Amino acid sequence: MFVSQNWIRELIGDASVDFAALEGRFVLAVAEIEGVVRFGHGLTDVVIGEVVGVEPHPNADKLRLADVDLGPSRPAVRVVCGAPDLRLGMRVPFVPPGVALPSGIEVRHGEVRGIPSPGMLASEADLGLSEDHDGLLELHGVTAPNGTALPDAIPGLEDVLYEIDNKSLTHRPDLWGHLGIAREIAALLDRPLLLPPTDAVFGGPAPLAGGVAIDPGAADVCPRYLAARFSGVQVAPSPVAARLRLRALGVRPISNVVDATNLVMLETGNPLHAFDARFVRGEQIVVRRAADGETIRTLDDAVRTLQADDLVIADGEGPVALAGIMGGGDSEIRDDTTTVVLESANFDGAQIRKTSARLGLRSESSARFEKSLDPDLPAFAAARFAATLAALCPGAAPCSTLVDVGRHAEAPAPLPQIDVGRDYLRQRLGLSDALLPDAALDATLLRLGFRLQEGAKGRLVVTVPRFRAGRDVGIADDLVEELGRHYGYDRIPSATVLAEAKPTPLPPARSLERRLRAVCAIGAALTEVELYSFEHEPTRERLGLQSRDGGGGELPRLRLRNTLSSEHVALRRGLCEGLLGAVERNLGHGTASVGPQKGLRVGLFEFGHGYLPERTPPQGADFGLPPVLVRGDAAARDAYLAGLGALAEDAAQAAANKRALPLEANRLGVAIGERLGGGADGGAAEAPPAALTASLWAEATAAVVAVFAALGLPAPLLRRQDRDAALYAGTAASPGCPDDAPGWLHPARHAWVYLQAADGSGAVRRVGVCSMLHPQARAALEVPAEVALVELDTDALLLAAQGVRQKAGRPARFPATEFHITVPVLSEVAADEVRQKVESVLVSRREPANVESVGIRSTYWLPDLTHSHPYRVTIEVRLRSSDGTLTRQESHKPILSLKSQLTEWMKGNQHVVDADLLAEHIAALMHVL
Amino acid sequence: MSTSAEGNAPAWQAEIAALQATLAAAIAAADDAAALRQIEVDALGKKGSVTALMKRVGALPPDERRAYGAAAGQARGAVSAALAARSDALAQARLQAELDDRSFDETLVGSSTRRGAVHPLSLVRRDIEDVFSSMGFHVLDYPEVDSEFSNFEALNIPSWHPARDMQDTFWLDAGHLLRTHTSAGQVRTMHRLGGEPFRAIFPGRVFRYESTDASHEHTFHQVEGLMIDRAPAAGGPGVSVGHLLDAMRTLLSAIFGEAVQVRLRPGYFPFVEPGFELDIACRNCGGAGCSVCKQSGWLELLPCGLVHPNVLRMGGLDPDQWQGWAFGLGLSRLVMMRYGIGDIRLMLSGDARFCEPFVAGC
Repeated sequence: MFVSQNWIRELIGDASVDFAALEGRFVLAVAEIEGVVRFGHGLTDVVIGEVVGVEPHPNADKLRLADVDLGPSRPAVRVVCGAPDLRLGMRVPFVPPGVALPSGIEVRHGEVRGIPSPGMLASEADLGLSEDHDGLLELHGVTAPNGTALPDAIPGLEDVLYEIDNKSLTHRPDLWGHLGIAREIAALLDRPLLLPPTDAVFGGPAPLAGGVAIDPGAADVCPRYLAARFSGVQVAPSPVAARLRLRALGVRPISNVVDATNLVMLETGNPLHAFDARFVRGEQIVVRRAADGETIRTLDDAVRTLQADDLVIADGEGPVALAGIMGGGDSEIRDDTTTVVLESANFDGAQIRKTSARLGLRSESSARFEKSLDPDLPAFAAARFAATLAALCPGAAPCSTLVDVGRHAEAPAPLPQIDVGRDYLRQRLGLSDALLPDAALDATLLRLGFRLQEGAKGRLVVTVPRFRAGRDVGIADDLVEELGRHYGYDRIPSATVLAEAKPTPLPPARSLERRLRAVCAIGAALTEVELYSFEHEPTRERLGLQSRDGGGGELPRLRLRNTLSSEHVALRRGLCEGLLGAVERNLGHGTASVGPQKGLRVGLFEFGHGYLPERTPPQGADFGLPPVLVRGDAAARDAYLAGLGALAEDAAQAAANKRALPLEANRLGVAIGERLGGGADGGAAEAPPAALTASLWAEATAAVVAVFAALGLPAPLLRRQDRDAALYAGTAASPGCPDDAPGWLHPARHAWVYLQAADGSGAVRRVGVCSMLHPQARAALEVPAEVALVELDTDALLLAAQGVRQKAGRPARFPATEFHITVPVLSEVAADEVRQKVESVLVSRREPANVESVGIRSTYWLPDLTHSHPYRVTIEVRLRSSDGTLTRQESHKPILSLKSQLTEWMKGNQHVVDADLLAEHIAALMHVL
Repeated sequence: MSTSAEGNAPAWQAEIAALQATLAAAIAAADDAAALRQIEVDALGKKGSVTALMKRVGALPPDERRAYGAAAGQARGAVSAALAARSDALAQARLQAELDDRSFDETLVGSSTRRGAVHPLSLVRRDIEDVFSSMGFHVLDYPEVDSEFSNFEALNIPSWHPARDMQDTFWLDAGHLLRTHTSAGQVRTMHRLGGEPFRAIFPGRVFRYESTDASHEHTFHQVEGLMIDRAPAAGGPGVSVGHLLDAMRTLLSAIFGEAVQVRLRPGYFPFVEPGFELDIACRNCGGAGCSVCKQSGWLELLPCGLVHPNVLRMGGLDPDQWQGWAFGLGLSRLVMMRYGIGDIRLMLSGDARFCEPFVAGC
């Protein structure tokens, strides 16, 4: 909204206000000033000229020659003019040669099509007053003689405008007109506000013979409706001063009648509407709800279809205005209008906002009404219209009574009263008696229009003026703000509160998450990303990323009811889908083909939420809200809400349709991808080399192992679902565990991640998954690549880690003995199963085994896969004693026990290990050791 | 081999000498450690030529044995010494060669080792959490999918309220929504920690139903701060605008790592009364006015205010007994300010190049 300095000066009756000094205080006390615009400056060399002769241009059809009288002190001139509206007798601005205008135009002694033209007749656009260059600026209503400089001829031409941030006025309906702004400035300057005259006399018959009424069905949304009839109207352009004031404030001047409604709106904040009395059919006005499907042609010439809950102004036959938003085209003011019916009303803000939002139709009027305006204002505005119209249209005057209907007209609601201690007001501001004595406190409130009475025990009973009484000021804390902003927030002394602060440790989950972040970034050399909570639909479709449960049913997602684009319609269930897209984009950046590395590898991780609507959140899912507020016992809820006043109903409403929140699982997702060398088809169809798959798998699983280690958890158990079906079926998944069958999961190349109990009880929980990308998804990637994915339920990990105490390592003093043993096993046995078996054999021996570590050193497959035991797993064992260097015998004993026990290892009726070969290996080993 | 000549030295003498000479020549000719090692094995190893000399002593007449033994021993010593000397010489030559070598190209600087990185949001959030927890604030987490109740009603924003226009919301079913501000945690926190004075922050992801451009994103991050204390009527210090000013100045100075000048302007948020927009003196120009602060010398940083009594009631706290302040800091905005990020959409782009400069912990 724009505010005119000149207008404010008029309203506070002080021409000497130092606005520059005021701006800073205004910003701190009232509202944000977004910009300062100068209007009408730089025109001191422009003078009034009167067109005393018009002749055709001899060389051009569209140009004419104007003889211009410039008053007694200057000779008349003849200039070339292209304005179509050039007319004998009109008075217009004349720009002498040598003048540079603020619009950038420089006027010179020129010649136009062979005729000298020493100067220029100017339009509004030429003078930088508007964008309008359709015709000359005709100086209606200007009485100064020809030759007078424009600023002297048009009082208030030079103005400075403040653009106020509308957002900062949302809660201040009283500030949507100059009067309200002037009231604040008057209070800041401690000056009285000069209310403009309202001495119009209404009287005579009723404005409309058929009556003005508010339909009972609309009474709740139209608290007040005033109407009056004005006769003697002669529609004409407004005097130039009024037109330019409207221009300055960003409103297009139209005609004196319409300009009067707009000027009053800009002055008081209350929008008005004027109907041509001839087109108010049936001589009546009814404020009523629209009928479903009823239509209206609005002033902007659009036909709008209405709904039953819209509010219209109707005459005897149908809607003539969309209440509070826009008038109808059929009853608008025309050039031949002589009698006008004025509407000055008050409408419910929410009602106006709803219709205006639904129709996408916003106007200066709706912007104001939707703030819930002061219902006292329409009477004042009607009187101001009478005065303004009289000034713009001499001869126009009220010819009827001023009809005033509506519940506010009948019985205005009592003004709110606030009973408050002055000490409370001071305490909330942090001001002492000395800084804000009673007298100053009272004076501030009085300046702002509040009325004060002494209450009991030195308390204050504050009556809120009507213009602040809507939803603006109602409680003591609102007065704290009034006092604070006018006292000056910059003058409030700060009061220490944090001095006695004691550090509060971070919640364990937070600090553990930090540790994981460091492990991923520094340890695993992964790059952290933050991705949208929305799944990307095109990627989901292309790669087939639908998530399924164990039975193959598609799992639900939280769907948005309103979407910004068809790409984002639902919330993600997990992180890998998004990470996969990010890997694809990163690999596609084109850096793969340059640099020393042929294949580009990118590794990303994200901490984020998976949104799981079908899972029940664990206890405490209301996150602190008492259950009575979110669901369940209605009586308890009502009891709680009693005393919350107006909020109770809304809260109860909200609580009634409450459902438990969906589970938001905290997850860690990792995706590591490497671009495949491109063939003719870009390599998409090629299977990735086994070594690449293995290397990505190793990197991804190393990250998992590092995460577990960083939290002090036992090493994770990783098993493919079909490898150990009993383990999978017999293990509970953690509440936030990834889905059973995410679309990216490779059925043959994955492992579920199991968390093993630290107490050695053997209890396990499924907390995550690692997988290579499903081959079908891989084939659909836009960049040929192999990708390894990890998703872990971090809540489960952090919960398990909370009791764990980290200890420093203890470097051993004595040398270790290492040996490698190659175990020939059945093809369906996994290396880690062999490692586990070896470890259990060594650790379960009765005598001290001195086993420091048991690891997998290498594996290989015999080329002949039909061999009974084609898979060779080399296990690396490190023995060490804390008592001394191990003797040869001490080293040999565990090996012998391995020989006997591995030989007996059975699965079903098959020997897992090839006993003969193992015996050979062990014999060789014993020889070396 | 050996010819025996009466009166001359025995034949083996020449033989030893010849062997020694051959070996000496070979040693002198050996130009690397492996060759030298081979000579050593061939000469002094179990089956070596010099070792063989020693073995032959038993086959000689007894009177020659002593002399032969001495000669063979001397030969062996000489060969050993020659080997050692040559080895030293070779080592010296190798050293010198490396020191003389000028082919090393020090400009072939290492690259392309993959480094990890953390997201700048994580860095700033960590710093903020540290500042606040050092000043007694709890750090709390709340769901991103929340109820209409927590996000609006509990914050004194009933359904008719114009403020709902400002909060363009992503709606889900069953009265659920994607929280539009971290303020949705305020009432939860009061129920959780209320009953004693407390202070807490709750950082997190928030969502707005609005189209994106360089300075608008539908998903971004905030940190909510809330402090509640006993009212004077309940024997406490109360919470005033003066307290809020001091807290904001202290906390923001800690966050920015230098003294920050702040000011309050009126701002409207239904859940605080009075409500403020807090500005900080422009860090680009120091308050003198520049293009960053649109010549005003101030930058709008965060909304804050004293907790509205209705919100306290919703939180189960009696406004006669409890008072508080709250603020909402734009975490994304702070990240952009700190690291000179011109386009907010980069934050959630998933582009690894965006995060590359940010090493974990720094």
